[in-house]
Amino acid sequence: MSIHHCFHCNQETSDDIKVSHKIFCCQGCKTVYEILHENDLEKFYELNHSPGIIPNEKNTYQFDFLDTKSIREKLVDFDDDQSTSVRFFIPSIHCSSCVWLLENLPKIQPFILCSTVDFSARTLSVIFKNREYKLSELAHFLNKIGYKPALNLESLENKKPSGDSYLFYKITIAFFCFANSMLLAFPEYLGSHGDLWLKDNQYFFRMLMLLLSLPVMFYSATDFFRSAYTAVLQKNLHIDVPIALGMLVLFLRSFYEVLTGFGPGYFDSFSGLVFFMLLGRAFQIRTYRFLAFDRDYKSFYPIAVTRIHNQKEENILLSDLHKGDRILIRNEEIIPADVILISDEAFIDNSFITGESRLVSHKSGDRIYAGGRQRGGVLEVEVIKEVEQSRLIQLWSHQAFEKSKVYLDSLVNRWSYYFTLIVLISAVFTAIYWYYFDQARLFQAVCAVLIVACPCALALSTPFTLGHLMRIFSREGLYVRDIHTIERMTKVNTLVFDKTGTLTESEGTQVNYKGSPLNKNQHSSLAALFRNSKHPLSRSLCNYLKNSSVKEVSDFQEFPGRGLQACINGSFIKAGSADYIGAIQKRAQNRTQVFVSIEGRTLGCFIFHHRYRRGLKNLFKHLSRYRLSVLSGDNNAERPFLKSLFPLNSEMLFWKNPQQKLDYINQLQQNGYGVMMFGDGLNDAGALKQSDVGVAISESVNNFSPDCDVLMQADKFHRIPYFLNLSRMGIQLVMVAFLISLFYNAIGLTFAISGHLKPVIAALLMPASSLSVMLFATSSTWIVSHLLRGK
Amino acid sequence: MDILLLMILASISLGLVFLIIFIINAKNRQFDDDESPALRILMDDSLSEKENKKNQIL
Repeated sequence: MSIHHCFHCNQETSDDIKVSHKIFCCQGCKTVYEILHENDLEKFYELNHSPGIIPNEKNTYQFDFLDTKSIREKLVDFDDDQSTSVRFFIPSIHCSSCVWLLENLPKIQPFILCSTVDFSARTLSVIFKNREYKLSELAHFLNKIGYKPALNLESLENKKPSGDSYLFYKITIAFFCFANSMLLAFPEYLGSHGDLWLKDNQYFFRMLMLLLSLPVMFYSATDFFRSAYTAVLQKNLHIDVPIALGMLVLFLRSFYEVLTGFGPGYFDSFSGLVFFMLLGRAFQIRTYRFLAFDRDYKSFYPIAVTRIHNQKEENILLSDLHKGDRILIRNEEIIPADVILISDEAFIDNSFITGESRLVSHKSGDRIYAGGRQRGGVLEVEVIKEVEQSRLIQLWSHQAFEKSKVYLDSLVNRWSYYFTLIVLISAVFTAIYWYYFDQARLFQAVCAVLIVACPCALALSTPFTLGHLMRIFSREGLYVRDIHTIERMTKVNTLVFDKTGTLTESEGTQVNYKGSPLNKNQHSSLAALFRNSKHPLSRSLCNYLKNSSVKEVSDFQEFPGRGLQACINGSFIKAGSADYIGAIQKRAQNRTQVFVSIEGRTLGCFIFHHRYRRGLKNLFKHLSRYRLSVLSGDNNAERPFLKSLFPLNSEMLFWKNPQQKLDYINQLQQNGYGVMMFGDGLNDAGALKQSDVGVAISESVNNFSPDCDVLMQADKFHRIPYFLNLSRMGIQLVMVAFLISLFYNAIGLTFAISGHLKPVIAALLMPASSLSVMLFATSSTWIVSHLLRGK
Repeated sequence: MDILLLMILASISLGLVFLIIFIINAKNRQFDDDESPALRILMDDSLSEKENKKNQIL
């Protein structure tokens, strides 16, 4: 059978769903194509090659709750008696075709008046006629064409613009003042001392520069003074202390010079210094507007639940859910609170909370903890604890998770400690020297030392070098929270891996058949049986068996959570759990398996494995300099296989609950190891937070991930050695940048101590040192990243 | 020569006006989304080939 690529989503497919010579992988993709075709929107496919997204059929998400008044009010931005404006977060927006299609929605659905995409935030704003069109219909429509709006508890909270924008204004103003006062300072620098006109109007130029420096001093530079002040209070020689000192002396000195008419002052150097320092700050902050590192349970939970009240179903906000309520949980929905099962039987996928890969079955009356995902039909459950008190949320707000990873001991701060000491000593030395030789110049010389020693280039080297690395990493699919994380990455010597979802792929399972061999007839009969069922296991078995011969199927019956049966070509076939078939189960009950029998005779079973990521062995070979461990919440069934992958001395631990994982990391740290933890689920959340660098692996970075320092795209897993090497090189580049900046400081100091620091020299030295550090950081990180990538 | 002083004041105030306009627009979130306008500009207004042909005939 030949393999084609789906015209809509580019996925490989062997199915033959064709419309006018175009091949599709599923009905969903075909439907989207037909909608676009009917509305003359085929240009969607011209902008990019097969840009579509498979609409999510598996999860026939109910959007009806959106029309409940209380929920609707919280979601919409604006509502009048004609139209409604609403904004959805749609993680699947990824290319120009998406933007084009979503902005042409009014062409498909006339009740939509206007739709606008904010690509960097992955949001879609829609204005629609609210009399003819319902909010739920809009959400359903978006879901149908593959753009499922992400609706969770978090989206109810309106996010305020972050504090970064203030930094933006500060930089703009500092730059304006810097550029203008530099132009005003030029005439005097350029040696027109003899010019009479200039001399007459000196006062005008100097006053103007003074005026321009005021917003810089009292608005742009405030952050530095504030952080220096707190550092001094904590008796800590933070890098901001000498910087703030330098700025203050520079400003006061210039102020004094201009008022007394002694000289032109250093206002241009001052504004330039503040501007460059702010630029460095802006550079170390890289915000990914479509990502969130500190997600909590709110982005995991649904907005609304269906409550049974007076024998009627109604949609309520999750916050209105109380103890004793009876609620309905549909297929693929998350259980939002600790509950007691009322329905007969339930199958819960706890992989996210515990790391266990198999479905857990519960009987009526069992207690089910929050956070599990329901698989199967509709469940009725009774809430026994308020949402905030469920075990899952308790786990989240665990005390150990509270402490933040603030490292005062960062590289730049250690340097700045000695640097500040040296500056102060040389200031004292200068004072003593001039006291004996020329007391008139003492004040000026000491000021000059404090001004020129301002370690601005030193302070710029870390943000620029590591900020560039962050950008390089993000292009490669590794999103680092801040530059301190990169610094911590270089100190790591132990790598700990979770198993399920980290070493294995979270989607996609591998199927093995065990038992008496199937003949051709049995093979096609089984395929026909599974084709009739929509259960996820049946779907993957259908794929595994790959047989499309037509069989006569009669008396098909499906028992949710148990199995299937049907008469196929006259023989009675059953498939499902061991109990259902009546098979005797031997060991290996830790795995998901489907037994099959024909005419009451058990043939064998299909065993589902998680598929391991490719190239693991090779990856671990490259990581031989690190101590490696596996820390799994799952059972130890796969220990022998893992042993074959990992180096001999690696540690392997199974059956660990979240607390034990955290304790293990803690213990490693007590023994002096720097730990980097790779995990994916909530069961790793504690360990991720405890470790020095917590890396969350995610198939799609917009999916839910626990609180972490680094978000990594799952398909970049094999790049780990590259990332680690690059970050180690990065720290060495920071060192070189330090030396460059120290070189400039030394030149400046010789001028200052000898009493020759003229404003023009300061005005040249400061931008020169900042610019050369910036240039070095930019070019060296670029070169190093390319060199290392080649390896 | 004294006209220079006036010119300097004029140029700085002009710069100041632009600075203020820039900050107002930044506050109105004009610079928040720097990606979609770049994608949008490459798209034609006309929807499909059918319409294009119609226009050509006319």
